[in-house]
Amino acid sequence: MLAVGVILTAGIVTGGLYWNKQRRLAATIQAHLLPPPSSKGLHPELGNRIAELNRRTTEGPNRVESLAELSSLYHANGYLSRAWQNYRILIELDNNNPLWPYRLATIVSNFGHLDDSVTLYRNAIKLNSEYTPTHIHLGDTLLKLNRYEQAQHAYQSAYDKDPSNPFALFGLARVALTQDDTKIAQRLLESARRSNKRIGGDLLADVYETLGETSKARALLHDVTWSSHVDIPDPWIDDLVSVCYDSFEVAMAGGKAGRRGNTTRAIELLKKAISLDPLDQNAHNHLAETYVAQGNLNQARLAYEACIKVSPTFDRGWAGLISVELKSGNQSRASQIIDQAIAKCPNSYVINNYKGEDLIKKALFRDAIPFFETSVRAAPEKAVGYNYLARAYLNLGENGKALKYLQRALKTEPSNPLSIKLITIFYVLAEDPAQARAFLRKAVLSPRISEEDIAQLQAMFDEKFKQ
Amino acid sequence: MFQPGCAIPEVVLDSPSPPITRAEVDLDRYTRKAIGKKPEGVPWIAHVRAFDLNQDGLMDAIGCEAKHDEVIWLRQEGNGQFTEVLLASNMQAPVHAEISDLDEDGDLDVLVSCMNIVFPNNDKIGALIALENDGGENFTKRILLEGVERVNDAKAQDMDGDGDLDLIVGQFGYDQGEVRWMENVGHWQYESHSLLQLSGLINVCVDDFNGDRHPDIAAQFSQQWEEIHLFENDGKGNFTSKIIWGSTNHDFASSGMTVADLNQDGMPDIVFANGDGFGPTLKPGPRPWHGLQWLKNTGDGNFNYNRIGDLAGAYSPVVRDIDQDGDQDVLSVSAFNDWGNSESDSLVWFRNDEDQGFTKVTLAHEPIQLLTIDFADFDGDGVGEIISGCFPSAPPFERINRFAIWKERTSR
Repeated sequence: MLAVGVILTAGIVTGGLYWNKQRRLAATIQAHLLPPPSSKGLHPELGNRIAELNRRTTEGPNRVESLAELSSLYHANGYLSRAWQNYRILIELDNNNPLWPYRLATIVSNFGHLDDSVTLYRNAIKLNSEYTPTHIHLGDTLLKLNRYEQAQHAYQSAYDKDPSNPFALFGLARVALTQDDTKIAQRLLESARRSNKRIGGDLLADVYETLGETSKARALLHDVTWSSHVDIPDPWIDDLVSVCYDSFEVAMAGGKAGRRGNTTRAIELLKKAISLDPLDQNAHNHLAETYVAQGNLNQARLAYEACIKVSPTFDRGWAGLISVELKSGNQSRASQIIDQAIAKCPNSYVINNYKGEDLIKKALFRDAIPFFETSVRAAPEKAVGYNYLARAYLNLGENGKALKYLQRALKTEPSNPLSIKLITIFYVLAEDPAQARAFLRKAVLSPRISEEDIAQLQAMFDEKFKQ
Repeated sequence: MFQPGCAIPEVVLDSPSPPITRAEVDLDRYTRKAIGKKPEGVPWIAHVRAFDLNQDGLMDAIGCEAKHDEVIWLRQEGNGQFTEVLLASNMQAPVHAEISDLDEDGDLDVLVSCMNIVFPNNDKIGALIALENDGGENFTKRILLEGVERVNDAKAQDMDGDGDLDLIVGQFGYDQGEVRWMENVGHWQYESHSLLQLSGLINVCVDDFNGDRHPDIAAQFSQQWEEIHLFENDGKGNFTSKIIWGSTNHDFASSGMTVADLNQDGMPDIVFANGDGFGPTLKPGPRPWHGLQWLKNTGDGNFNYNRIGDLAGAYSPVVRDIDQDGDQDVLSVSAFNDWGNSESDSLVWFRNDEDQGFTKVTLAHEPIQLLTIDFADFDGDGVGEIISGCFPSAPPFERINRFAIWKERTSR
């Protein structure tokens, strides 16, 4: 009898606690949940999911799980204020989950509310100290708050877990630079680049120049891919793309994966972007480029063909397809495609360059010239068309015109590597040592011209003038 | 413990609440008129600045045409008529022009920042060029700086208290960049002092930010840094630097900054935009975090961050009292947006509710791809007009113009 009483009492207490918790959950959600966005213009499936999750969040069952799902959906699809508010609620209702303070911290710190995000990142670390991106982001935030010692500590935490982590090394280098400790920054940045070639090159070039190591700076700048910086892989945020319905954002995530070197993931995401918007020419084009990066020319060809099918006047798609045929050694197929492309994109500078180049290969130099002239009219700000014109006139023996176009190329793009090489060769052949020397010097100073090319130019110069 | 029937205490969320953008549409507020030459091809107007260059009492404008390497003077002849005058050609992709009497001879010169190549390039091809006025609006080109990372912005100010105008220069570069000041040593000669080597510099602004009566420098950096730095001046050209704002979003896309006393408390605040799309992306387009914000100056070189509102592809923030109600509003344009959608924002006004709460008012959906605006009373009626410049950097190349004046409708 006593046992029954105890069980009954315990049951009533437990039920009461549960009921009280559910009331608190419902009241908190009701007080703080923002209304859903207008469904106008939304992907239908996204609109339906938002409506359904809103209903489940407010009415149950599984309010917290539904709210979590809704938050991810908002975050992934660009409704940042709503995601922000939902994570605030989740921090209250599901307070042992590090995901909520972490995701809120990333949104808050992305907007630049740095002090607030420090607290959130620290809460996330308390709940899970093993997730490296939290330490890196905390370090980045503290650095931007000029709290260098604390930033160093945050980066050090990531470094202690993995001494080759390039993001930790890069962060520590930035702290060293704030203290004018250039030598330590150099060592850290070199280590970061050894781990990941896309991290640290920009700062390291400045460090080398500051230390007077100009040849190292030049070699590095030759090696660096412009805009080489990549973000730290961050599954707690990156995985949101799986519930994204915006083809542009999915394609951007694909690009990000590709820049990190994960072309397989990039291809998955770009295919998803195309499934969301089959007419997105840029996504088709980027998918093809990613196949090229993988060396898979057959798939690249198919992707470019799909690209020009959805957008027949998109010259980048045609240019890519021509390039694939040339890489595959299919010169005659490339010529056919060039003719199709020029019919669709008669004013495209890149297609006109391909057409002119095709004629040059057939030694039809005079016929090539009008295409290059169209190219420079279409893109007067680019040196490439002038370079082609110069080469055509050189082949025709019309050196005066060739020189004029080389000079125009260099006026348009003073550091264009091909223009510098061509004009150096021109002056060597024209037996003008002063001009040849001046442009050879320019070539030596340009990090965009390889050591091999410089050696070749130097050899030509020496052979002509140093006898 | 368990108290059935009791009210549940209200749960207060102790993390910061999100910014919410209030929005309206008012397409009838302004009428637009194209000025200057008709576009031949796609224009690249990188910058427009309202200024009475010939000091005849009529507001003119200076424009930078980056594709054709031209600096343009839109000279007002009165009655809203403008003549386009070519101030200088072969200007190495000019992207920003400021007007000052650089040589202190009583006329106005033009200080032009030149990138040489607008799209991504890390070569040291930038230049800073002065157009020296002979007093009759005939201009001679003087190269003040060259062979450096691409120059994006420059201002003239006496930084060392010796009475002449020094220069503050921002070099965007690409992977490398720099902010420097150039000490005027007389006769158009300057001595450079590097302040910071960092890529992606968008704008430099000069004002007494910390209230010590010496001009300081604020510099906005984009690329992967996304920071605003303050260089505090001791009055003799010695600087102490610190970061006054930053985002950890490497794609935040900082795109422009201006100084204004937004809350009218006597201290200069900073208003800035993020919405840049000049980069190696698939295509430039809107991102959910693009918009406008301001750093409230709280004194002694300290600032508080505040969001003004969302605007995809936001560029060229301008602070003025647009509706003549006594508070400071913010104008901006969308340079990069979803142009397939005919209702995407192009020209936007953030209306101040007097207490720095802002309502976003869409003023126009076209022309699209506006990159730069300024605001001044061009017709002298006491109500300001907007002048805009168009820089279509990616398709579609439609619904565009070059320069336009936007006049408030009188019937309002």
